[in-house]
Amino acid sequence: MGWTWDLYSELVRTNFKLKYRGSILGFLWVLMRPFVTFLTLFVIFSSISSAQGFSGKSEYAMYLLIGLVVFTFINEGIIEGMNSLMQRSGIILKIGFNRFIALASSITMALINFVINLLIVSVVAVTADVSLSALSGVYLVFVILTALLMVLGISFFSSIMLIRLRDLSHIVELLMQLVFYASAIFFPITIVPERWRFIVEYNPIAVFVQAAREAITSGSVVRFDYVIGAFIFSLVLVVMGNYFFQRNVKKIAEFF
Amino acid sequence: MNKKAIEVKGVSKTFRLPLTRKVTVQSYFVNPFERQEYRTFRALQNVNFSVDEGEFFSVIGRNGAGKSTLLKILAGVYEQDSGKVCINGRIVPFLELGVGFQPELTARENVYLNGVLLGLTRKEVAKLFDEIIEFSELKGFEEVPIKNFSSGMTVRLGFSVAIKTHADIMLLDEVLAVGDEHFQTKCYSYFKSIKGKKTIVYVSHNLVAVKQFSDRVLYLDEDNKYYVGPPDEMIQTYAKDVSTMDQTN
Repeated sequence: MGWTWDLYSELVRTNFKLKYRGSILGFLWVLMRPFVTFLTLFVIFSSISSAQGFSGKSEYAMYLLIGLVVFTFINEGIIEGMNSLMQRSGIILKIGFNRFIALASSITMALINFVINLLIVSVVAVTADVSLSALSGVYLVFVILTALLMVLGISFFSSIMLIRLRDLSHIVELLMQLVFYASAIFFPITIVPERWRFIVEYNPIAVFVQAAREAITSGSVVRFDYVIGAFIFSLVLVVMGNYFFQRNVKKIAEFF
Repeated sequence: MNKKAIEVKGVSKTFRLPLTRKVTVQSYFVNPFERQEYRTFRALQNVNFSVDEGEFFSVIGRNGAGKSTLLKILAGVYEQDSGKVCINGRIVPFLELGVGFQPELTARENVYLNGVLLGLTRKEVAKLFDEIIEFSELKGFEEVPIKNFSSGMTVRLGFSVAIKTHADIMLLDEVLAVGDEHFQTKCYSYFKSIKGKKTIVYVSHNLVAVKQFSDRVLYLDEDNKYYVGPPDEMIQTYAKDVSTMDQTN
């Protein structure tokens, strides 16, 4: 157990160092990426935000920022999770260890980046109205946990499938780009025409974003039944995914 | 009387090598009903042997005879199709030196990464760190990214980590001949010193080293047959097979 933990933390550490070593801003890049996206979208869309039911620019800023940070987390988790085995083909071909550690350490990267990104949110939050309550804080954690479970469940399948099907990474990246627009990140749900509303109402990423937003800005618990459903679904997905993963992972060394 | 370190019972392994490789979704869409053609390649068939604790056990055979496959099965990288492998003790695969080495990271960071990958805890690596650096003769280079190392230096570092892992069983895939002459001598004397204390499975084409170090030899021939016996005899069988094959060609 001690060793398993060490291997996990060593892989996370290495990943982190490699990503930001040799760049002048180092790990500031973690903050930069969503922040630049935020600024761009903010500059473009904040002028029309008051017409769309936001009481002021700072309210829109919070709306946009939380949306981006939550989306970035899920997006990164899905992409890193999918690439986790492929990326480590070098060590997988030479050493027998529990491959789940490779997957877990990749997803952890997304989680660490998310926590760092929350720091920007808290900085911007000073200028905006925030009413995070104890209850909504707990709910926020639960929403993020559900998203994490979903990412894990998907990664159990995608990490294995990527090895046989290299196109998967392009497909997933494209898909996530579409999901970005279908998740009401930078526009209010109310501007979506009624007949297309179901897309943002039932797309899990949109719901997670929405629930996280309300939890932080109004201190309320929204879409609780949906999130509970998503949580149970994700649990089932993780159990099935784990079975699929353990069954197939023993063979992957032959297919790199 | 001797305890068995490794027991291999009836292990077989067949690879299915796709002739036309379908790795893209496009190829599935373009012709979804085209049957994937395979060439099957039988690497190992019903192999049985055991290695005693403290034995120096070598594996010889021509390219493609299944030597590396066998080693990878022992290391847990591949899974055998059938049969059983029992391993008693901590096994360290030396299939490649410096597994996981990252050029961007410093020698120190790579020692930690590699050490943990080879089965040490971070604490154990910390304790062994000075010894490792000393054996590799890289004192003063601890904080240098290994992309700035010569290939010899990198190999020395990898080798030094690997031999300090205190494994009970070591799997060596032709790694003895590394570094310059001075370092090679050091390595060979290291192997002499652990001979009898650790179980070693050594895969090599270097028949001189095999003869010098081995207690027993496993010879895998091209027709999925195998022979286990004393080094001299096995090397002779191997040499005879090679020469008859050369004649028929």
